[in-house]
Amino acid sequence: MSYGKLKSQGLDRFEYLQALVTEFQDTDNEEAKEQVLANLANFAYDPSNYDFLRRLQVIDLFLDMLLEENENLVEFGIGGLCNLCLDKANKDYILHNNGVQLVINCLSNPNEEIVLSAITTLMYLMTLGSRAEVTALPVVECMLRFSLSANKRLSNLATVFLEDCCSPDQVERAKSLENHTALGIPLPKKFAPSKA
Amino acid sequence: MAASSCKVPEAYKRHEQGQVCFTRAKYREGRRLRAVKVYTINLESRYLLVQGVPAVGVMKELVELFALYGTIEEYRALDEYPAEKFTEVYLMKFQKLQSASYLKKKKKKTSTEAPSTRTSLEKELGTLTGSPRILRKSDLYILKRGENKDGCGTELQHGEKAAASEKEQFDFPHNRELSGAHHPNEQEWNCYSCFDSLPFLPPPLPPPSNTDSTALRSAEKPMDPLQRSGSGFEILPSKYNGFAGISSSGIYGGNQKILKAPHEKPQATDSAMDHIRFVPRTTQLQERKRRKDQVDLDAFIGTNREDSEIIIGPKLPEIPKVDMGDDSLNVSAKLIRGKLEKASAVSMQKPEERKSDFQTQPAPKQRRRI
Repeated sequence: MSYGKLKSQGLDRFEYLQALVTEFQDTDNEEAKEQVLANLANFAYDPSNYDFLRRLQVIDLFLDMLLEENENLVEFGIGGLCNLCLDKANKDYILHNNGVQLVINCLSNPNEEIVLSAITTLMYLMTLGSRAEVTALPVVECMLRFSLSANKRLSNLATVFLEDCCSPDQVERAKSLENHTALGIPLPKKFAPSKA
Repeated sequence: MAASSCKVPEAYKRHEQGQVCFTRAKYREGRRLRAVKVYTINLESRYLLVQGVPAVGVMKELVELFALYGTIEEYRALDEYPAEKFTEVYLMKFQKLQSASYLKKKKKKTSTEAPSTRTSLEKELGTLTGSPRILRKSDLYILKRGENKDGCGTELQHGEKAAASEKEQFDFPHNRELSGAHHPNEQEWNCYSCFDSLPFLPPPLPPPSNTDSTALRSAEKPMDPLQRSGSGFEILPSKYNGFAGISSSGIYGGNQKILKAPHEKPQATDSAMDHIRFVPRTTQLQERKRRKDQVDLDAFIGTNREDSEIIIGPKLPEIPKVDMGDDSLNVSAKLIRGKLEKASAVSMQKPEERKSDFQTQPAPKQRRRI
């Protein structure tokens, strides 16, 4: 990263991250926004940055991105969340800011990466308090469909979700629902059965 | 070699190299050109796909090379995978996640040496039993990293030395986090419980930047340095002669050289590289045999070619002249000593002659004389 370069100029990581956030907020250039967001999301991979990112309210920024129209922004936003949401403080923050709903909405995104990151994020966001929300019936139903997908990554991840986060009872209920009702969440385009 | 879980993956779009970004603001520019991408835990995998390897039959060398970074469970060449002309694609399954990700990063860094070769982590192959494990492992890894940062409160609670865990940053915690105070509610984390029964892998070795561990790891593999040095790189002893006696401090540098060698082949820019390329296999074998014999001979005589100059004079007179207690025995002993001296003097001169012989005629039969 260019962080090394900056370090030699006397800027520490917090200032660098701050500069990134400032640019993100100031710029009108969509491309620059994507780049900066990707940078931040990659910084979120390293737990040593968590503290800085919280102070700069980058988690809010990531959550906001989930509502963007630009698919890349959504992808990088959910990627960033996926990277930092296992940390307890980050998780609490996301849960308190209605993050679960935002992430669940990502499940219907046509972009494969977004869906995969969303599933992982949901698994990480699972706590006793959030359990009901995370394993709501539509989500379990959606996971059931994903688990039948020809896309190996998706089906594996969805199966893990069903096995780890849902009770057999919930799965059964979702299955019976599947038999009777139309489905709410469509499969992402990229791996609809016809193409895969 | 080719086992059930090493199926041929389909060529996925994401394996293609992304478009490098040229429009970054100055302060965000890295040392290397990169695409705009986010690396998430989702993308971690134990499978490594190596594309664009020149098709010159270097599978063995490649695997040996990669094995330096971690135990390879399985590997195979993917003949069916769409590849560029004259290149091959290999798939490797590492025992540890970090080995694969480290190599991926590492190979990306060295990509200037082999512009055509690129590695990517392969996720589709993750079997059902495989992927949760991978996920769990990365979970624990993050928790661990988080804990290290949080301070030693939890560490102490578990009676662990903070310093030790700091050192083993790449070491996965065992059941510590599973029951950890980090998550007061056990039910909350009961998704881990099903993996308690899974045997944890042996504690992973520290990252390859640790030279000692690299040495260890290479020692794990049944290949001796001599053999390795003979497998394709030996032809330029002047350049690569560090291999035979890799010291623990020098091994990393040595690796760099090994890394370079196979990938420079396709470029073939300088004549030395051409030289490497076209030496017939038989010549290489003869050369290796000659070296081995030479080493054996040296060991037998008790001299070393490198420091023979120093030894020639002072060493021989040092043989203690034991009084055998009998005149006739003393005479015999003296005679034998004289013969020995003569014999070693001859073999001292020999190496130079032999060396020059080798420039012209390959592998004359070795004779051992004493």
